[in-house]
Amino acid sequence: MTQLEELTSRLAHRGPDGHGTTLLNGGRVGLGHRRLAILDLSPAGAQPMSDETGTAWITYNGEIFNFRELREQLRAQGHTFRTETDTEVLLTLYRREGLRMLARLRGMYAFVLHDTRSGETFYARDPIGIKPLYLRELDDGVALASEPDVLRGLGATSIDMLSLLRALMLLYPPGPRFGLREVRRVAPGEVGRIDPDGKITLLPFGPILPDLRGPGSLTRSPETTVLTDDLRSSVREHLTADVPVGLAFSGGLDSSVLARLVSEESTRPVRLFSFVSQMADSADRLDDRDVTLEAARRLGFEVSEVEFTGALVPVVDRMVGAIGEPVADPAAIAFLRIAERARAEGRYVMLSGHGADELLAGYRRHIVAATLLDRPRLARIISLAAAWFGGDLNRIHKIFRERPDYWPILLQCVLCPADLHEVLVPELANTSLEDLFDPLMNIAGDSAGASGLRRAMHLDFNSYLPDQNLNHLDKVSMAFGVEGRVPYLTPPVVSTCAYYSDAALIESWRGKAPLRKIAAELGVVGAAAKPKRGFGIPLTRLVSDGWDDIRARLTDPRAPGRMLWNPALLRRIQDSSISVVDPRIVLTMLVIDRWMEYDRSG
Amino acid sequence: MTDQGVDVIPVALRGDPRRLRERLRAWGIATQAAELLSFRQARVWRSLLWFAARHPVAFTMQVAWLVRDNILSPLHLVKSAFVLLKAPALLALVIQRRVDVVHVFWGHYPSFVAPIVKIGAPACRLSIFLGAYSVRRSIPSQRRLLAYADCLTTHYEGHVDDIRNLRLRTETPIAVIRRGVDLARASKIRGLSHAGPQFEERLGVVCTLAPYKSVDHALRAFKLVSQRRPFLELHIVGDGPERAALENLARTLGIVDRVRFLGRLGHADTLEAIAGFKVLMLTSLSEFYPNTLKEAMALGIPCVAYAVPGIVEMAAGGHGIRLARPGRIEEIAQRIAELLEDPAHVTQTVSAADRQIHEFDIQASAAKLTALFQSLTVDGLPSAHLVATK
Repeated sequence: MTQLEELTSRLAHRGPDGHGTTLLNGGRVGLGHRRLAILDLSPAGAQPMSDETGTAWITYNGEIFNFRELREQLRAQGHTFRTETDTEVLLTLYRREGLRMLARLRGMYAFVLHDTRSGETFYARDPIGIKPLYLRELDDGVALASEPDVLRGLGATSIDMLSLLRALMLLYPPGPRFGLREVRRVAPGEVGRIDPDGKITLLPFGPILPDLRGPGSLTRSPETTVLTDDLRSSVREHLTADVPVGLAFSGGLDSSVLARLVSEESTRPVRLFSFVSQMADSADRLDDRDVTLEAARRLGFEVSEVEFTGALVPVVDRMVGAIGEPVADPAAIAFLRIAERARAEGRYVMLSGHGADELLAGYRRHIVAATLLDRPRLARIISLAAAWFGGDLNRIHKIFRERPDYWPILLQCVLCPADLHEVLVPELANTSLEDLFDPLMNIAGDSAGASGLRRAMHLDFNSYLPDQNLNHLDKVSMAFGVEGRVPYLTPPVVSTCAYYSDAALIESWRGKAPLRKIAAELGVVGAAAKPKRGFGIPLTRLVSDGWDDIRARLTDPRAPGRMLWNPALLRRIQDSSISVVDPRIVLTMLVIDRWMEYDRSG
Repeated sequence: MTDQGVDVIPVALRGDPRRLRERLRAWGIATQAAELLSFRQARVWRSLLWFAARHPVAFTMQVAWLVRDNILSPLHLVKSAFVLLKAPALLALVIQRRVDVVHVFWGHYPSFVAPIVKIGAPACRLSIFLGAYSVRRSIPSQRRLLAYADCLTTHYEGHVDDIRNLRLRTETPIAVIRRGVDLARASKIRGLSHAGPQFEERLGVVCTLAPYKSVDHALRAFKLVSQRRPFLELHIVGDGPERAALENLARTLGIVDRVRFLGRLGHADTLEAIAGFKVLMLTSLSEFYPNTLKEAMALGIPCVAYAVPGIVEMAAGGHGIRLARPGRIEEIAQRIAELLEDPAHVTQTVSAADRQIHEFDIQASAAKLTALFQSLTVDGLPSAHLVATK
């Protein structure tokens, strides 16, 4: 087996339906691919694929949802096609327009394309960051892959400690660095050219996304029907597949609206997959099973119930293996189980409501941002009062006592900087906020001058969404050969949402007001009035039930994470028979520990 | 029209006489032909007293309407009063120089000119131009003005039905005559090379800096494109009440060092500025055949604008002007990026614009207007005189 084949085989879970490798340019360029066949299931759709002249070769991950429209335009211009795939449309478009074609694509993609005429290789990632792509610069070239694990196989790696600290605070590492110094994430919308000598040049191509720092004062908020129409078109496009389709359904607003539109637009039965739990602790704030199932029944769907069973530690290990990064979102565990079940039931495409919260102010922190970020005096007063009351309110005090330009970032934090010393050894806990927040400050700086709500949303859209939510969705679903699709995240929907004013997004202290109106208009009973519920696991209960295993893992002298944790905290964990730490922090510690172990062994 | 043998007398009822002369010179019109009415002139006061004495009821009615229509706007009241007091001098001019047609650009102030002219010189024909502003505002005194019109002209077909709904005399003809651009002049400028560093790219905006022009969209679109084009600058020609707010927005967006506010320029300088742009953008959400776009098209500069009525028709099926959905700033930015990145797009857009712009040739518009006026007069032009007021 060649090195290229060996590296490609590390992605076998992403593409169980076929594989291929090609060496080009006298063996100087190698392309490998694992195929998950969604469109044109015939062997003609195999990759790496070349255009009919054999000059352009591509290995490509994702879907171009408007490929049929583009193909018709190209046919009208005299082009012929050998397959029914979007890959061939991409190659034909490239031959006609070069990389300027990127502006015409509507979809999720990451690809590497080699042009044998110029000897140049190009790579691109979709502008929202739905499909992942990683890059490693080597002494003798450049390597790219859909998962970091592939690139780790190309030489020694070292841990970027700052990324781990960020993961501890935010539950994910934001920005290009995710934990390894030698490998970086390709940024959403990044397009690059690799010269034959290995030099990388970033290119100004690809679609331009709207300015998410808020509409101008003269711009009227779009009518609800505009968003409904955009969503409906998007759902129709996202249902395009030659394999059965499923929908991840939480019973909340986002997935209920999606389910209603799917029921209206789909010509084939679509099955809902719901993560239900009967073991949730009241602290977990999860829907009970009956509520979710009743919501699905009202929409007329058959539902597959996915229930969390087993212990936390093994599933954390599975999640870290799938994501390949220290990402610790409980929802990732739920999606892992949903994807596993979907694959078992023959559903290779899974729609999900990801993105609605980021586009329409759906997080609780958005309400705080809208209320306090533009009123620093009020924020300081509330912060002082919160400190006096103590308890959970202390978190507000810890956020608003810092510099105002850090506030939007701190609203994302699960662990405040002030609490780092309780978890970390002093030399790490004393890391400056400038260093900790560096990648997020770059994004936040771009939204200076916008309203508080828009600053928080801008940060979420550019970091939390691609680096955490979309990252885990793609990885945990592809771990089982299921393609996650996100109808809320197409350029027309993103664009419409960008033009809602703050007041149109938040009404009566509740976000996602336009989506609530759509739910009401579509007759999605109950969802519009329900409090926010996402996909989650009964984490409090799982930590409590599995405390002995967790304690053993974290305090194991051989555990790689031990060098990070404050010895006093480890002693408390060691001495206690019940959980003494916030369950989300426990999960993050387990994830970081496992990821470091994985790195050491991998 | 002067080239076609029509004797035109431009009359200014308000404004700076020096600026008006400069404008006329810029257009090659003899300034001695112009009449600049001012309160320093004895004839203005003489005419006023004469008209008030001869038509006391009509004059009183005009004053009453003026007060009634502007009672809530003292500024308009004063400005309108100044125009009304000069209107008899215009009437005297019409009588003395045997003017056949008075062509009024309908705005708020000429509303008081037309009745006085028609009362004092009933044989004189009255032609009124109605632009977008006129149709949208529909101020009562302006509506009254329509009753005196012998013909109405507009430059956009879409206004015809609106005018039919406004006007009082159903038999008055309505003609669509484009506000033309001087293609001959544009072609001279188009042939010149433009100074400036080779690496510098200028994106241009030319308009009044007023809220209804949505220049904030242009700044935001520039911000989106500028991230890809390190040498791109935005040049804004024009002035207005929004200027300070727009300068603040440029600072907020972090593009202030790449945006140049050039202020209001003369017509010749404006054309020179447009000719130096790589792309001209217009982000107004309400326009009807804007002159800026016509001039840019005539100068061979590709344009990007929102697909709003008027501009859609100008765009020749979306080829002569690159269009974006109204209000979608990122689409404006995308169209600009396409033009900056791909010379083929520029060639395609400019060629389509070249084919389209001939519809807006000022010579053709003048010929149409002349023919219209000839049809109004008994003997026919060009022996007749014409007074245009603005």
